Amino acid sequence: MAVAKERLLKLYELSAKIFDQNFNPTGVRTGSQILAKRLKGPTVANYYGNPDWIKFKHLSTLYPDVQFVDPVEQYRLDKVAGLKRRGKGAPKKMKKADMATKKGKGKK
Amino acid sequence: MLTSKCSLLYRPSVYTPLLRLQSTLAPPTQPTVPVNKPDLPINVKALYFPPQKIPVSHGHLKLDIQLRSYNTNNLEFFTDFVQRAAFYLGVPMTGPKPLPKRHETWTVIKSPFVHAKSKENFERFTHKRLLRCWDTNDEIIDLLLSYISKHSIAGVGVKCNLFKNEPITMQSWAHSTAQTNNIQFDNTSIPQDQSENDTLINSKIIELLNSKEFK
Amino acid sequence: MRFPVKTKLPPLFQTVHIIRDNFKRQQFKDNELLTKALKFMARNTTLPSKTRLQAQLKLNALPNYVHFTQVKNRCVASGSARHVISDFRLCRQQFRSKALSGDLPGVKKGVW
Repeated sequence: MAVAKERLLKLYELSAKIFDQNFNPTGVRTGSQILAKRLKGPTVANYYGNPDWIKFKHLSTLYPDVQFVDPVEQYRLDKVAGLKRRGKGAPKKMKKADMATKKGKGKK
Repeated sequence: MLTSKCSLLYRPSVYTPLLRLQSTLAPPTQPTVPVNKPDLPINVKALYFPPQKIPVSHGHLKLDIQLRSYNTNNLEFFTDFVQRAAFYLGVPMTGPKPLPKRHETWTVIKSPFVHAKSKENFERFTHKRLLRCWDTNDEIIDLLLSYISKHSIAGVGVKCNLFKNEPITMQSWAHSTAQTNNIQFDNTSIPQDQSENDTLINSKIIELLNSKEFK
Repeated sequence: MRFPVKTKLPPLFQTVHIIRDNFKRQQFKDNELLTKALKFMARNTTLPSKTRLQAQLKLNALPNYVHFTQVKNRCVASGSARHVISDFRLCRQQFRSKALSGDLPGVKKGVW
């Protein structure tokens, strides 16, 4: 026994209402595909981790009674101190008077 | 001096190497209830036996707990713990059902530069166990879940599927039947969904449609 | 201007490319609702054609860093963009060294 198309459509409409689905018998483009996709912004933005993650410089403010040593920074400081001991450190800053004389020499 | 109570704590650590062919050795003996301590509480005694189960009476599935780990030892231990917790909370639980383990493989080039023909393989197995809870109050399910999450152990992931029954509300029907061809855009012209993201997008669309640019 | 909007720096390893990619990711997240809404309006045939056209024009006028197509997966530990294993967000070298030193839980040398 064949069922009338109208009645079938009614049935589909009703089922769509009950199960919270879109009912679109004519196949009109409503852009529902765009809405159906979930937002991926938070996962995309968290790829490199939380930007508010605690940094070394915040440790001293969080725990003022504990002394922390940053190994990377300590290594750099040791190296600079070693260079200075061997007389290979950075040159001293020139004073203003010296600078003027040096400039004059250069021009000659 | 050490008393007999502390002797357990101060026991010297014994080196027991893991043997490759353990199957050829004698099977592990079943731990027996210490006879010299008859006044053990019954729940402590029960630890010497496999976890007890409450039979399913109605067959209403309430919760799926999926435990995952790369390591079966921790997984077995935690499934045992969850089963015992469920028993003492009075939750009928079935399982653990071992689900197919996931096998992931990666093949990478060995060297940092060129020599693309020599590669190295890596793999990872994810073991899974499924526990299902039946015929329970939502509050007890919440209690069980919070208890599990409080006492969770390292290296075991827990994934839960909660099943809840909801009546069909007449409100959403009224919304969709009251569709009009008004030019003033409102909620009815846009498909309705309960999730939070959709409401965010919907409000953004309405805001745009009602803005000056689109009038 | 390379960074028209101020964003926070990524917390771990930083190179120019990572900072640039991170900027695009943050911008994509911030503008996702707007782009999605405009896209919906442009594709929805039940809306008046004027609105649809306007929405499409506005979508096209947005800067390119708000689109997901500009985002590229990079190695979190070295910044390399080639052969990035997305399960670990690491490139092949970093993945191999970390796996061999046992930093990646469950990953073993494969024998099959």
